[in-house]
Amino acid sequence: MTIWHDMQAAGLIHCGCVLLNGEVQHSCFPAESKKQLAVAKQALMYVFRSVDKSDKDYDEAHIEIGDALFSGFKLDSDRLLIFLSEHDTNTLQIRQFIDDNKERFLQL
Amino acid sequence: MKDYKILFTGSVCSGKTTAIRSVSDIETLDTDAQASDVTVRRKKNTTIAMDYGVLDLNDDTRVHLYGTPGQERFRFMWDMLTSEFAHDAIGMVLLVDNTRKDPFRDIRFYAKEFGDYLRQRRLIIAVTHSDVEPSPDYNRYLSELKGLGVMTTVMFVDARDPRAILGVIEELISAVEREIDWDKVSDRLLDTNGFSLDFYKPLYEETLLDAAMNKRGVLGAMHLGDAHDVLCSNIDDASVKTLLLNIDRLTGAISDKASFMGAVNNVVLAGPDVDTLSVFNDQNQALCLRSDKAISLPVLKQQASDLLQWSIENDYMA
Ligand SMILES: Nc1nc2c(ncn2[C@@H]2O[C@H](COP(=O)(O)OP(=O)(O)OP(=O)(O)O)[C@@H](O)[C@H]2O)c(=O)[nH]1
Repeated sequence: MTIWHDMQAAGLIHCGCVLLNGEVQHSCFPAESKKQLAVAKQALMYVFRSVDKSDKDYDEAHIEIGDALFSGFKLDSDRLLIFLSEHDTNTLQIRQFIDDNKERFLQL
Repeated sequence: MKDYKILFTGSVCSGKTTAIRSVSDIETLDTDAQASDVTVRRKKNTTIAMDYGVLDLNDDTRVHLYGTPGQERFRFMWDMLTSEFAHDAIGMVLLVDNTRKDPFRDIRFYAKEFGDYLRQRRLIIAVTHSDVEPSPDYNRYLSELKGLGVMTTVMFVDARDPRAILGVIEELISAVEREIDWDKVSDRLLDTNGFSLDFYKPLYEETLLDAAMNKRGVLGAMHLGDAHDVLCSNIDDASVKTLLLNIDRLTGAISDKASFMGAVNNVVLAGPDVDTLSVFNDQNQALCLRSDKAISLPVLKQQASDLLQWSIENDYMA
């Protein structure tokens, strides 16, 4: 069982990936969601670049678009976790899952 | 005497007070406060505690009608009503204001908030203000509710019309009471209560910023226009302002470039030690909020949709 499966089984996400310095390091986005992933990646990286410029400590961003929710969580200064889920997903539970499994994500 | 109870809920202005008043045989107890001391500018009065009325169906049957306050900041009363006063109600009526930007979002919100309560009783969705805004129509409600997996009755009513509200009550009560002469009740109500379909005149007394600042947990707000211009703002921190403006621009860009995904509804930024920042988009405007980090996302969304609703109407009035 991968960590993505765990999250899917818990009903938290549809798919997810880890970006290392902006490059996809590990992903469970299926091929047909390539376009979505590209949008999510660009948008969330833009958000976190703006956050860096503002010098504020935001490590979590959610973009609700149509019926989907793209979430980005900063794992450390180089790594960004990206998820695609339902627009009304409980983001607190995703946050909790990440906090509880941080090491597993860092090892991906 | 047989006593039944029904609980009415719904967003601000959906018509709860009006509905209960239109059929009540007693002077209704409503704990409305004047606009001056509350957040409203859309209307003069808002319910701060609860509405209560009684309707006699015949000599030994009556219904007690309870209404929740609409504003989210009085939600402590929701618990009190569901666990005390109306804990044994036979059904709940969710009044949905059809002029709201997204009435289905309201339904999702209330269905979730009252989820446990609704497990044991019937829900009726009563759509109000459809004389002002006919769309979404009945069929749209049915298909949307089917999609949500909510099995319930939908009725289009005018909360000011006792016959319409009585119809809703009949829908709930007739399942358990077969002896009621509903026509007789209706005639009696029209004789005594009468009704007037005066079109309500909204009172705009506060600005969007004032209204925003009165929402729970809101620390600052900024209203952006069509061209990403700042219409008004009380967010002083320049870097927060820039960040919000950048995000607003991003939402425009995504909606343009990735239109296959639908429009960007909102963007929320959070962190362990910082205020939550959010940008909510509407067709021709955006609302940015700086909120306490303890405010949950669903509550934030509900607050923003209330506020955007008001501001559009305000522009329309201007
Ligand atoms: N045109 C029209 N007006 C309605 C309808 N139903 C209610 N109203 C009007 O809408 C306004 C608001 O109704 P209220 O009964 O005060 O709303 P409420 O849900 O009790 O609001 P809160 O107490 O603030 O939660 C009143 O002026 C009513 O007359 C309707 O179906 N059509």
